Amino acid sequence: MSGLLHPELPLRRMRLRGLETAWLQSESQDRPILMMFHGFPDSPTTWREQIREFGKDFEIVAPFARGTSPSLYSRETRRYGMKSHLVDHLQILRQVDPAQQRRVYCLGHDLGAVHAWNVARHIPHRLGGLAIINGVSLEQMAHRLLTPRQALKSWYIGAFQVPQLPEFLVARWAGSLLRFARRLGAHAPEAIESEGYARQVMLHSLNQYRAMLREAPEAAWSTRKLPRIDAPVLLLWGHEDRFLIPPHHDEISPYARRFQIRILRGNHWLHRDQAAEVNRHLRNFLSEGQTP
Amino acid sequence: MMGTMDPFNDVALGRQVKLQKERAWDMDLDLDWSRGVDLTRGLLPVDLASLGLEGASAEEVLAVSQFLGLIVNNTISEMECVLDRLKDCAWADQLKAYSVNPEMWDLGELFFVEERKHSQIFQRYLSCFCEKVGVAPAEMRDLLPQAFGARFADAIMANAKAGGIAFWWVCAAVEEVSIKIWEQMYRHRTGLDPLFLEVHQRHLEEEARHANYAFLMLNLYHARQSQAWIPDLARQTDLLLGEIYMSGWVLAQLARTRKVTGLRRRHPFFDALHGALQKINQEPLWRLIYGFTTRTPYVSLLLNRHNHREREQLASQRRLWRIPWPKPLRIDLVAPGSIPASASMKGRVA
Repeated sequence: MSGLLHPELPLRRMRLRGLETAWLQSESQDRPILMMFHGFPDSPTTWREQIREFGKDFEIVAPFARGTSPSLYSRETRRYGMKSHLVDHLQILRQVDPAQQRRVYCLGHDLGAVHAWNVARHIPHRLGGLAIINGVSLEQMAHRLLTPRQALKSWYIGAFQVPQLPEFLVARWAGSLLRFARRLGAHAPEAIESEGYARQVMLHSLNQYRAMLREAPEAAWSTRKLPRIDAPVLLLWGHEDRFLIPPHHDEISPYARRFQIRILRGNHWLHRDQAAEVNRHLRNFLSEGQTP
Repeated sequence: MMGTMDPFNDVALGRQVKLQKERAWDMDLDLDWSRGVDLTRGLLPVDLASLGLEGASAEEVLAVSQFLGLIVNNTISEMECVLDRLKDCAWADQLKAYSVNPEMWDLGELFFVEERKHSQIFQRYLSCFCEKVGVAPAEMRDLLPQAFGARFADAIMANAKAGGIAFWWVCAAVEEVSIKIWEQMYRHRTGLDPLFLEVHQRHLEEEARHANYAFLMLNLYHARQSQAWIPDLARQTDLLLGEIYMSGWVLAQLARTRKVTGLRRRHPFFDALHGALQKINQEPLWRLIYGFTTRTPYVSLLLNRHNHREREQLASQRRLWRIPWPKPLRIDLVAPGSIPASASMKGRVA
């Protein structure tokens, strides 16, 4: 499990609705909160370059998604869904900031972007900004899956819907599958990503895709009712993303009033592939958000 | 190198935006319009042999030099008007689909503002010239290339609306040619109209700064396409289509010069021009067209892709289809000598 933890950040745990839920949290209670949501197949260690960069200026809160150890897995698919994660994340936030006064910035990558968008919409009075890296909201994905180009790129979502088979394969060849996923995303596998690590980030958390597909129709229908985010939104995108097509300007405008799209040279794991560039843009974005 | 501008480099683009804003000139404040047009001087250096004007009189050579200058001005001005009409489909829609960074948007907005300004400056020069020769600008424009109403503009727009980038290939060529034209003017500057020189100098200053924008758009499109699973084969032909549209348009528009016959009596300029065009038109049609593509000053510069070094380099890298133009021929440009004002050159009121 050591590969999952960030050496500089303490691990926190809490029992939420019967399930052990974990997150990394720095101890800077007088600072704004930077909540980081990892994707799949990942853990909060994916944010290590950003934690290093922003750890002094923000209180970092990086939850482990449901099923990503040490966040306990569940036998109920709905516990992996967007709504269930939202409840968990808001409770974590309440734990971190009981007074609910501090400004919160949300940062999400890949599947973590779904959670980042969701949390951002539910804390409008405290939201300083939302930054997304190679990820989309559930509403966006629901619409995108209707287009052939995105549907083809998201073939793996379909593969994960098959009962038992993905778990069977991951249980036996987790390391190889993780390396395959990284190579597919044009990203080199890392030494930290052992067989054990691979199993822990993939085996149960792939249920997020099952839950997501169940929630997608309602998300697509409810698009009109969701309020637009007033806080600034930054979308950073690696141009060599093999899983997601780049965002279209008109795709974002229903969800955010003020947004900026930046496409950088890089792959799906842009925050690792081009960490310095990403940090530069995040630094500018977060600084502006803190300007009164 | 224009072709190597990187649309992903937001820092460089941001610097470019700042530079262009700081150094932008004002058409009314930064040009000395009071000096007027000097009709005793040419506008562009010419090559007598390539134009078939070896036996032409000094007035005829001068008239051709001036007329070529007006053609170049109007061609660039018309291109810039087409550009304005294509802002949404050729630029905004492309950037919305692939919003690389806000700096590309800013630079693009600036590009269109500057191009509009350039069109205005050329039209203003045309008005000054028309005042000197005693015709209305609309009458003179009747002799000069017009984009709207021509199939060229419709074809380019249709291509842009279908997601094509033929327009940017054409734009890249025009940008390169503008700079080359200035280089040739500068070499022969002492024999040319100072106001015309000043107009082109100002034009060049901004062109040299923003000439990259067409290449930026082309590079951006290429970067976007390189990630597509299925290459957009239609885009392989955009450069070729741009060349075909452009060539067809230029050659068709040159036919408008026939209308000078109707203005012969209005001013010695038109009379001399008519005489010169008669000499030029003595060539067989095939030689004329061959000449336009290989040696006619400025026309061949625009038509023949071998003159567009940066664009050619980019096209070769991407293995795009192009017209197999013959290699351009060497030409020797000279400025028409300034001739003293004589009775034959004084304006006659229509």
